[in-house]
Amino acid sequence: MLWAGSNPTDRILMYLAEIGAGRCTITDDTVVAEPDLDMQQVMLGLLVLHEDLAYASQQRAAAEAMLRGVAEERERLLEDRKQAIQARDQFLAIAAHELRTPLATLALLVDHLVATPGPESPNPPGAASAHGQQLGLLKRQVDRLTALVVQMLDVSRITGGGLQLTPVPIDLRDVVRDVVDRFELEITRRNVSVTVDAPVPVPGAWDAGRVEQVVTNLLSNALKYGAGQPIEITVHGEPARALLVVRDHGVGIPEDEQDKVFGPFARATTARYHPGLGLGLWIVQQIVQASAGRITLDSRVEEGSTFTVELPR
Amino acid sequence: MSDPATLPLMIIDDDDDLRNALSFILTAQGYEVTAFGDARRALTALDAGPLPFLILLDLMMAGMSGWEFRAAQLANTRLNPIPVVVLTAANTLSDGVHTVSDVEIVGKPFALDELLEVVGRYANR
Repeated sequence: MLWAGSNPTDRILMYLAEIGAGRCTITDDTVVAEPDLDMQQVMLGLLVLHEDLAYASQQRAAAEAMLRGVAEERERLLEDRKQAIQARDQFLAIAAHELRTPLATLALLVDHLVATPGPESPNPPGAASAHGQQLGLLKRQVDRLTALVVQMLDVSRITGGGLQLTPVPIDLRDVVRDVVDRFELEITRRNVSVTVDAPVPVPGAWDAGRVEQVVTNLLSNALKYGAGQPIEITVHGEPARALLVVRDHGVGIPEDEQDKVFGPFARATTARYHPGLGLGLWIVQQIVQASAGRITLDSRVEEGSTFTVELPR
Repeated sequence: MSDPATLPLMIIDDDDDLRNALSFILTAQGYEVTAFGDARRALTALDAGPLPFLILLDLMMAGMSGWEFRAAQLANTRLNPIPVVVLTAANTLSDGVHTVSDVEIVGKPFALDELLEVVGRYANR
C-alpha cells in the first residue's frame, strides 16, 4: 500500500476501502476511491474539520506572534520607565548637590551681613532700618531656597534607599515647642493663632532632626492650607507610643484626594497655587514609616484637616 | 580658653566663592585663616609650616579629593592629631573607595551660627 507520501484525504479513502466501507483503486500516481454514501458524509465532516484545524492553527500562530510582540513592547516600556525614573532620581540628586554649595556661600554671607551693621548705617545690628529690612528679606529668601533644596535632597535620599535614622533620647514636647518658636515670625506675619497642648514631657528614642522635620512640615502645611484659622497642636504620650496631632480649620482635602496627599509631588487641588514642591507630606510619611510609626489624616472640605502621627517609644 | 586671634585655621575647598566667603567671615571672627583650593598644596603647606588647630575640609574636589587628603593626613604622624570638620554637600561620606572616619560633619548649606559654634568648640579645646 502507498501510505507514505499520500495526502490525508487519500489516506482516509484507502483506510475506508480497507475496512470495507467503500471501494478504492490505486494506480501509480492516483487514488480513485468511492466510499459508501454514509461514509461520504463522514469524509466531508472530516475534511471540514481538517480545514478548520489548519485554519485554527494558523490563527493560533498569528495570535502567539502578536502576544510575543505585546510582551516585548511591554518589556520595552517597563525598561523605558525604569530608565526615566533613574534619570529623574539622578537629576534630583545632582541638582540638589550642585545647588548646595552656592547656597552655602549665599547663606553664610547673608547671615554675616545680618549680624554686622552696614558701614553707613547708624543703626545697631538687627534694628529695623531699610537696609536691615532688605537683609531680612534676603535672608528669608535664602532660607526658602535652602528648605527647597533640602527637600529635593531628601527625595533623592529616600528614593535611593538612604534614609538612615539615628534614634537618640529626645522629648517630643521640646521638639514641638522649638519648631513653633522657629515659626514665630511667619505665625505673626500670617496673624494666625497656634496653640500647643502638651501638658507633660513625652520622652522617647527618635531621630531628632527627622522628628523635627515631621513637626516642621506638618506645621508648615497647616499654615499654608489653614486659611488663617487657628491651628492646634497636641502632644501626648501613652506607655508604648507618642501621639502628635496637628489640626487646622482651613481648606480641607476632598475624600477622593486624601490617599494622594502622601504621594510625592502631591498638592491640594482645592487650594489655589501654593508655593513648594508638594513633597512635605510625602517626606513626613517616609520618616514616620521608617520610624515604625504611622500617620493618619482626617479631613473635610472647608472644615480643615487633622494629621495624627503615632511614634512607637 | 584660647584667644581665637592666635589660632591658625585651615580651609580646603575648591569652590572659590565659598572658600573666599569662609575665609572672609572667619578672619572677621579673629581666626588666622589659611585657605587652599587644592588639597595637595594644602598638604605640602602643612608639611612645611605651623599646624592649624582645625581643618575645614570639602570632600568632592577636583585633583586630590577630601577623602584622599584625609587618608594622607592620617598616615602622617605629625599631621594626624589635627581635627577635621568636613563641609559636604554629598549624600554619602564614602567615595566608593575611602570613607572619612573620626571627623565631624557639617552639611552644606549651613547657617553661620552653626559654623561658628563648631569652629568655636574646637578653638576652645
